[in-house]
Amino acid sequence: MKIIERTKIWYTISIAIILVGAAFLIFRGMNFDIEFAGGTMVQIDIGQEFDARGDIEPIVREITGDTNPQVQKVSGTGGATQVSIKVKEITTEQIEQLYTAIAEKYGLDTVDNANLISHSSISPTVSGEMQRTAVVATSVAALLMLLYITFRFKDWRFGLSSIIALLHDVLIVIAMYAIFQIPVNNTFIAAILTIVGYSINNTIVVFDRIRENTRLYRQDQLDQLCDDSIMQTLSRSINTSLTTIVMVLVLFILGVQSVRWFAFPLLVGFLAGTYSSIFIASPTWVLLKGIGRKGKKGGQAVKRVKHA
Amino acid sequence: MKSLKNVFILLLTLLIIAGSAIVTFVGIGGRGGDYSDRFGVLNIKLGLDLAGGVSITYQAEEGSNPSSSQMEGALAVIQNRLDSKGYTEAQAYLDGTDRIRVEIPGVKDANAAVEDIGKTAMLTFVGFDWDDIKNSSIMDKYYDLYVQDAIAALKEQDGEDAEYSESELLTEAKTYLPQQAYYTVMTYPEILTDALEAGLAEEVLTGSDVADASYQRGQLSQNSAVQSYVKLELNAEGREKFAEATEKYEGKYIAIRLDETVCSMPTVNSVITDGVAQITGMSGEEEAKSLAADIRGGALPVRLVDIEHNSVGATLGQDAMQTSVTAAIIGFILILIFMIVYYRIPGVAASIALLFYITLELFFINLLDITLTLPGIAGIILSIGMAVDANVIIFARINEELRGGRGLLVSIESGFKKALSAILDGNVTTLIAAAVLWFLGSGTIKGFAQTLALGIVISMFTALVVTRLLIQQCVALISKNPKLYRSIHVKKA
Repeated sequence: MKIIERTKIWYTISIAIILVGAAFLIFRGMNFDIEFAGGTMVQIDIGQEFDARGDIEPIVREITGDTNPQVQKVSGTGGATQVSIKVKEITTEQIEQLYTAIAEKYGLDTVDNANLISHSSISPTVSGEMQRTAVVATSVAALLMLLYITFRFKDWRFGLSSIIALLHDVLIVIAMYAIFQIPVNNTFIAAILTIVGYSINNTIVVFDRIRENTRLYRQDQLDQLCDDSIMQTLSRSINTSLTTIVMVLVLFILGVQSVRWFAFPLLVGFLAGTYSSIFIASPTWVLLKGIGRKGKKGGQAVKRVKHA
Repeated sequence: MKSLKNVFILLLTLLIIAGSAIVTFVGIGGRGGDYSDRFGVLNIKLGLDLAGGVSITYQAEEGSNPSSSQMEGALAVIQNRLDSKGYTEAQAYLDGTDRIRVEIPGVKDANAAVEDIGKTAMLTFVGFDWDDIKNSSIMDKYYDLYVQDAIAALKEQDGEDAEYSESELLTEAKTYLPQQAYYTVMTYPEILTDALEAGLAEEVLTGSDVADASYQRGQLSQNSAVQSYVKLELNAEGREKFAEATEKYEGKYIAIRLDETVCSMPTVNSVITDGVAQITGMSGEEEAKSLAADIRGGALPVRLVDIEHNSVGATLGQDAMQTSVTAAIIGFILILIFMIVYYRIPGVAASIALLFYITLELFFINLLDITLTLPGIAGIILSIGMAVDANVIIFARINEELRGGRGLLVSIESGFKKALSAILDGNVTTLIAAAVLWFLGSGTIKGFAQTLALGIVISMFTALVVTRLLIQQCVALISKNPKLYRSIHVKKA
């Protein structure tokens, strides 16, 4: 299979997805969850045992329009009979509606909102400080990975290509968050970090083969070197992806809604990670080789020699 | 002889794996009681998202009317403290305008947690001239207190009919207390509050002027005893203020207070311009360490009172945990089936090694007291993926060698050898990322990094050592037929 030769196609597919994501990001924005954006907390004394997920959560979704509310049982002195509902910022009328709906469901007093313990606006649990820390930590990690790969592979192009592949995967996943309006919360950070780890590992396995095969090919056979190396590691790439994807797929099928919101981006990220290790990382490396060697048209020159 | 040795190795390996599985899934320790599952999987602490926890509500002291920036400052301090006390999975947020809520997973005793989060006290440095105070009317109240205390002490000593003269005691108080600044302030620390109100003392520094506080042990001067103390390092602003204050109060006192309690009350011997101060007078190492941690955690800009403790349910819903565990088990079994069907004997060996990997991972999560959350589970999923990957890389290599027409043992050896560089580089790179996130990250990120780092180290061990050991024994004992070591799918060369 001629993968390097069709670099443009692979790049186009990826860039198209990322651009669609960017368009959604600009026009619809990200669906920031209460953990990131803060919101409203409503506490109600139900006065009896209740089913938080089966009964209350659907009411909350319907009235507030929040796709990922947090409905928690709260135990006071009389057992777990209170409910704490955290949703994105809602109006006083919506609070009233929410209370009335829940009160009717459990036959509570609707006059004077007698069982409404409190409602207040709450701040995000993931503060701006924490978000900054996350970005700084990820950047430092990326830099150190770049240095390590450069050191181990004795070629900075391998390091840079791995990081570009990694960035690609992260962008694809962020695009999915924007397109499908997946709630951005704590699990968003975890999903991104998981994909960072997965992506880099996948890329390295292919690069390891290229490193090993380098002495078997001439300097002008870079395309062949990469294509062969990718093919030799293909069964491993497929099998590994298959197993990890199965793991997450089962989680997606069986999980509750909030777990699904987590499993879905992971699924996309794992697919993107596999894709980029085959179709993005090595082509980028070849491209960088060309630029480093003969100026901008170098890559083309290499290709022509091979076909001759 | 040789095969006896192989039987022994195989049995020993399987025994260790079975033993660890029993320890992890059933638990060991006493029968019944709280310790029956000391290392059991049920003993693992679950995060707020999966199992809920304790919710603690703090409210700003009445009448303090905190500004929103003060509340945000207080929130940041509390978040810091939670992190430094190991509650990495706790969540803290502002509730309304004057409350802070903290939700901590895996904690049964809310009071202990409140204690642990630390004092909600304010740190202040109060400079004063004792001569001003001792000659003021503030003292009257404390003369009376002294008399009452003395009477109480006498009664304790001699019983209810102890003999004393109140007027004599009052005279004693009036001569003794003014002479003994240190005794008076330490015994009646409220005197400084009165002095501050009367303008006879001033707050020269607060907690926000402190850059760092650390526990120290040693002599503070040549003749003093070795003692535990807290070394305070002030920031630039604090340094300047402290230099001014020590100049103004040279030969007088600067008391270091937490709320009203006076921690230490040094006499200012010289102007201090380097911005380093010591707090002495702690009962021992423990107290000094905890005080240093409290100060380092930051001094609160507002005084908080904890008004309510509740237990709260899982934020992801009560079924999140159950369904995730079921999913993980099913997914894992599917992987094992795939490995065995596709890779045959090596697949069986890898499956056993993976089982071992899971038990070890759970064991260490338990041992290191890591709180498991959904992101933490993501870390585990990723490391399972990498553990499987390591095996897949090795088996693909063994396949290639076999297809190249090499002998079985040579192929296995060379397969492991050639796979090593890819596995090592892939794992080390991910480990670098995990380590950075562990040390720089907070909260969720830290939890994720912990399970991931742990998983990578364990998976390298199980894939490179355990799988290999098992395959070698299989070759020696079960079959030397290369077909059983090749993947089913014979690929086009």
